[in-house]
Amino acid sequence: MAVIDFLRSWITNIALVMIFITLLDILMPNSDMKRYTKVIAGLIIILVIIKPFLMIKSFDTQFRMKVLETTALLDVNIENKGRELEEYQKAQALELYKANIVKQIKNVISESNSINKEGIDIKMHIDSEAKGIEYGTIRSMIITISHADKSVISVSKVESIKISSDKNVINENNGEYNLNDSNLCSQIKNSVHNYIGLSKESITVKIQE
Amino acid sequence: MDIMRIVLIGMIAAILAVILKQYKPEIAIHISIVTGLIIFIFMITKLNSVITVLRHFASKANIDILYVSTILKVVAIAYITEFGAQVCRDAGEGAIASKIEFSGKILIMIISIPILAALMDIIVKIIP
Repeated sequence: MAVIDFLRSWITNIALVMIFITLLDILMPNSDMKRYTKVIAGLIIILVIIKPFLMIKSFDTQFRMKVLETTALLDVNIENKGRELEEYQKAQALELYKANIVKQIKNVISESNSINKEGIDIKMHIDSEAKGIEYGTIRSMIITISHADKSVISVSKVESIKISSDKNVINENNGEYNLNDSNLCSQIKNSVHNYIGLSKESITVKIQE
Repeated sequence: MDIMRIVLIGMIAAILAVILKQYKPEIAIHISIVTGLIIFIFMITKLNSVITVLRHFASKANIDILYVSTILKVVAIAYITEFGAQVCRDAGEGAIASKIEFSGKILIMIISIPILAALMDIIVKIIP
């Protein structure tokens, strides 16, 4: 009896699918694209016809698994490509952003303290968590200045040399340099702070001889 | 009668386009595109009801819903592609039209590949 039942459901299924596909055939646009839709319709008819063979050895479930697997694979592939592209774009944007900030800060420092631009080196740490709220926030900044010309600094701080000599500091020269440098540091810190609003604690200024 | 409406819209647009073509050919193209859109949207809403009935029919007939949705998607892509390509062709842009058709074919392929792959897999496995 089971065989008869199975045969009946198989045959009705084939007939119904045929009718279904015929109806769809009327619906299909009347052109080149029709060929493509017909191929898919043909595949489905083949599937319905070979269904009894699929039931041997539980090919049926395997078939479903394969369909789902391939669908997932296709989706993942397309999505991944999109994501890669997006990440690349974001990285590029971040690079550009960094370069622009560095350029602007160099300008600010060199203008306010008349230091040669070539002597300034800026390294910074930027929040690169693309999904975070603080994306692009500057966390910290290290400004390295290697001064080639010290004329400006010595002019601006002549008095400090006097004070240090009054107090009999042993290492006069060093004191002078340190004071000058720390003054320069705080000036740079101030100007950068005023320019981009970064807190002074997160700015480090190093001066190389 | 819907068909009367459609035919009337089509005829009026055709006459207008023919008359205008002598004086302002570019407006004739606009008219044909807009008419195409109107008729297409009008008929797509009707097609929607047909597809709902087909879906219902398929679920009753115990046809796998996976195949039904696949084939319906294919038909929809074919229709939309066809429409876009024809509009472009009417406007004299045969190159863009063929690109639209090309992308439609690729999308149909992407939709049908899971079934194709599974079928091939089964054919390989069914022979021990």
